[in-house]
Amino acid sequence: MSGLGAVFRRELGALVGTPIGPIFLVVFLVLSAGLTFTLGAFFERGRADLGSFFVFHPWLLLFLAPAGAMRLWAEEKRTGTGELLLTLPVRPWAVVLGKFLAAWAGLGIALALTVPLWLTVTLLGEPDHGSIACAYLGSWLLGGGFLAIGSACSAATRTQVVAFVVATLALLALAVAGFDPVSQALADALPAPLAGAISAVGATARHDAMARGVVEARDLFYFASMIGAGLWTTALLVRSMSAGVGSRAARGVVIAAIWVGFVAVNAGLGPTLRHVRADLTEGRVYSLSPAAVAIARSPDEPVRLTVYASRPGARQGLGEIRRRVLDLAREFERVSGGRIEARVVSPAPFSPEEDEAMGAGLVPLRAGDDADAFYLGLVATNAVGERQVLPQLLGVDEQFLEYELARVVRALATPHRPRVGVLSALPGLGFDASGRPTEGPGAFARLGLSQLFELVPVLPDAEALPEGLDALLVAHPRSIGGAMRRAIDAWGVGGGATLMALDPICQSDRGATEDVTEAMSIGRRSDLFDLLEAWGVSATTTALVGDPRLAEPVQMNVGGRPEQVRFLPWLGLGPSQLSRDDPATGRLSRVVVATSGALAARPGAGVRLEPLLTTTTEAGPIALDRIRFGGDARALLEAHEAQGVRLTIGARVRGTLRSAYGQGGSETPGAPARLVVIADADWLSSAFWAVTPEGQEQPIVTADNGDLLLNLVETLTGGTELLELRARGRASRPLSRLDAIRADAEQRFRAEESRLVEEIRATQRRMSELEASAPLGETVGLSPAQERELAEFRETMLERRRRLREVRLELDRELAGVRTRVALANTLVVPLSVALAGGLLAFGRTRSRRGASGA
Amino acid sequence: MHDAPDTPSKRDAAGDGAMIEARALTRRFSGGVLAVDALSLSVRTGEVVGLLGPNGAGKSTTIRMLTGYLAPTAGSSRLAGVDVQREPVRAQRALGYLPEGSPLYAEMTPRAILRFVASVRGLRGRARTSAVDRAIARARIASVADRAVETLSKGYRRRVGLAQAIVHEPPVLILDEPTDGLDPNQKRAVRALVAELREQAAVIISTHLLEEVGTLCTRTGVIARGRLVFDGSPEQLHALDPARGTVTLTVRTTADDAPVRGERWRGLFADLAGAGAIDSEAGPEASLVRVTIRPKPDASERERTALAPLASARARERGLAIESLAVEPGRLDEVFRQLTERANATPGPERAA
Repeated sequence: MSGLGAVFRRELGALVGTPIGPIFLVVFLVLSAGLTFTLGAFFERGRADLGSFFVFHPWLLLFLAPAGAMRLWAEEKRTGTGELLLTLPVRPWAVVLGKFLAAWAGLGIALALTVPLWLTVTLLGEPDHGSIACAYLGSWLLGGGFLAIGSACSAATRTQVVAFVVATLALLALAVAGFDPVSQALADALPAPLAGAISAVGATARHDAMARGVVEARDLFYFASMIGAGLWTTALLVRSMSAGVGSRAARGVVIAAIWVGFVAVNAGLGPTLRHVRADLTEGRVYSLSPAAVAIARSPDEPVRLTVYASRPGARQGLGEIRRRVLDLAREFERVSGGRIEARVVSPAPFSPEEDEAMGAGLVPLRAGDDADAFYLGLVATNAVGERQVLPQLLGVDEQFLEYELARVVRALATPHRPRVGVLSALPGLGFDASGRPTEGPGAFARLGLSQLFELVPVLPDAEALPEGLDALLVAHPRSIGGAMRRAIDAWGVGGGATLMALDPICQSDRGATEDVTEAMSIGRRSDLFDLLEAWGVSATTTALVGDPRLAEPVQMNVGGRPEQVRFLPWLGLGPSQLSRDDPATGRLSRVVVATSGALAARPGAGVRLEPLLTTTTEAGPIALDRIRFGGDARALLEAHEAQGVRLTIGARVRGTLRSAYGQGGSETPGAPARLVVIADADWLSSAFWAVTPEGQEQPIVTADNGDLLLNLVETLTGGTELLELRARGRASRPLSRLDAIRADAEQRFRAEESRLVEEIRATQRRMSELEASAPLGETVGLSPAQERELAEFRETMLERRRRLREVRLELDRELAGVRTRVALANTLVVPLSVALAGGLLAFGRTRSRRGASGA
Repeated sequence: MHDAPDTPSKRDAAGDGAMIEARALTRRFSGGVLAVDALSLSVRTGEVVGLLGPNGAGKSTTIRMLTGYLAPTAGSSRLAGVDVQREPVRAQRALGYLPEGSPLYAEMTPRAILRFVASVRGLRGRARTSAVDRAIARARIASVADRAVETLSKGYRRRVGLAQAIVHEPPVLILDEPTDGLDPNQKRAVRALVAELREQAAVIISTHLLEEVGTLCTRTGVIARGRLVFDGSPEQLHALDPARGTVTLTVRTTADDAPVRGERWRGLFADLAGAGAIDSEAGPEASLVRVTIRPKPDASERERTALAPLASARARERGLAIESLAVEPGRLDEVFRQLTERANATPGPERAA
């Protein structure tokens, strides 16, 4: 196909070699990067992805593609070169294709030149490269479709500007089709199937779907058919420009038929091609995993899923999650082999369906007083009348939807839920003497646990463990009676599945208020450390683990002002601190622990620790007596000394445990341990990792602690299916390196800041002393020397306060500086380089022309 | 050597050796306008056919159908024996075409354009380089070969257009108004080039310049209102002038020959074979009379040719002193005017005898 290749090369040369190409390229690069950092709020989102870059692509391509395509044919017509081109021995379709491919390659170059953004986000965090690559592919495909339409518009006229304007308008229509307000307006004005079909060909939703990192067959078909329809139209118009066969009306009919076919086929293919897809995200975030498939196939009795999903109407953003929920429910149905039946109900306001939804216990979302209720929930029932309800899925992160659905299916499918004994003094987690759950910040974790397991109260003064336990959770045990100690020892040594969470200071348990010392302490110590020691695991009880790299920010009162300070013993463990090898922690991204101890295997005890939760090498001990109620977080940070090794906070214990009571205490000596120990109990308190915004029922989870608990219990009881699902990895990843830069900067400034604060305090003290030496606030009794000194102190004080303000400002400035440099580098450096290269090229050409004309 | 494998050559041509052939080509535009009406034409290697016709006569439409740019409503055309409508790409391999106005990509250099055209025509590597160099040399554009076309003069652009048409040394060459708008020197250069190319190619040139019929063409076709109203040699075209053979005789009279106008002169020559209307008028001097003897409209070629010798013999016979004698060889513009205006009335194309 020499003709096609030659046309392609010539066209690409014309695109690059004429000023218009590079100019639009520079405009695209400046706008795309500029929008990313301004409207896209790249830094404010704080996420290590390019979402704030790709979200603008449909809108940028709306202009860039017509600009790239407008000259393809209009120029040939205007100058008459089309006649030359079309009388060369090359098929018209090859010319159409060659020109299109050149423009498409040009777009590819434009997209490739935005790769510095990819590098930037890779430098600042750990982005999902599969997802980004897929998003680039999506933008390129969308651009291809847009270029094909632009090419058709160019072939319809001999004026580039007309081609540009017409194409932009056509693409604008395509881009907004499928937007909720547009869909709503269409639904009011047109018959339902037509309105639905038009909404189905909206370009933005297709691009968004790919920008997430999922290649769906229907989206690929959509882009391919758009390119095909555009080029077919182009070819028809080009043929009419030359051959001119057939009447204009007939041609119009054929072209209209092409586009009606495009809409109809794409609207119709949605359901049939939905299941053919490839998830390119690194964690397969958007795929039904094998475990979910296994769960979907597990019910012996049929399970019915009824999804109540209101139509999103004009409400922004609800359509996507609604679609996701419906997709998932249908996907469960599809893979279940007839065991699951999915049904969708769209409750309209005041309809019987709405009554049904309310009756089922669904929680509607109302945007305002007048707004209609929005339902997005699910009721699962089985043949014996058991039911599981997910009252409102809007509060559930998208990547946990699959888990939620799998969970209710499993709950209905499994006849026997594992029995887990719970022994805990952590408020909310354990049970009181009458067997009722206590209240407190541990309740959220307990509720999560109770969805999957049958929780059996274990009381500290009981004579024995309850019968038939599958696992035992011992979290912050207090006041354990002698019999219970023996029972736990026997259970653990005998290979009973045990999760031990022992805390040197459990901040969630401050004890009874009448005990003054305890009320003033920041928490109480757990029991059973000695039992653990006997088993072979040593845990520090006199020092806490501090790690400046992981320290969590807290609001503190500093010098009368509330201020964000990082509190050394509160640690936010990231992916690098969570064992990647263990199924319980492998897919978690963040776990928060507070005032924890450190673990070690006691030498010679015959056990080995497999760390699950660790610190960085910056960690070091904090003497227990330094932690006081209302203590100075800043001082802790300053006094910290790194040990240079990673400390273990949580671990799986391998080997055999030794009984604290000698051989007689164990029932089956030599059984391999099924024990997980965590030297903290506060991680079970949702106060550290979930917030419930005012007016909302569902808490927003800020760390994976709840998942960690479920994962650990599940691994201990032997279940693995849900484990696969639970932590699918979050689609949202933090800009971790930027956060580290911030932490570094803070640390540097902190030293100077506290020095200044100390100096100010000293000066203040000295001033007070001076003033106190004078009678009652008068200065008349002061000697001139003292007065001078006082004035100097005032001066010094003011100077230091000024300096302190400057230091804080400087910190802000330095962080802002990093952001600005990153934004500017991306927005200006690449486009300027392109412009420079273009300029040099043009200069070189002019010179060679001059040279040629001079010769 | 550099030809693409499937390029038709003279060998492929129809048995009669026609390299360009139009059979009843008809083109009706939307709106019913009949631009070309059953036009047939055949050109062999070595022939340069000049297509003459007024603006809007259908010259360019005809050429565009021949080149495959435009599809005929009816009829067919063949280039080097290949049906243009059925196998356009194969037919176009044999074709070198200069479209009207020599459209070129303004931002490219002539060399780049030639390289592009040669690539589309399947030439590669050294074959392409040498073909491009040869075309540059023949079209005499070496001095501007590396300047952007947009900086070139009209004459150079035309030559670049010619160069791209001949880069593959085609057996068929169709040039739409190749000399239009050029200065006399440039015209001469283009004509010389065409004359040179004629050796290996069948050439069609469209023009509205009557002078090119004599200087460049071996054959002439006149198109009017979509029809080929004349197809023959330039001489045959000249012969179409009804005034051809008109004898203008200036004789010196004596006193008794006094009447300048009148029956006398008519009577003197009326019986000559082929003579038609006879006029007389006073000459530049008092004693001179100018007599114009036109051939009869249906006079044969022999009669027209014989008219002058017969008239001079008759005058001498009558003792008249002949001061001067002029024979009208036929005027092309007149022929052209008559051919193209008459096309309305005449049902079919005029055939040269």
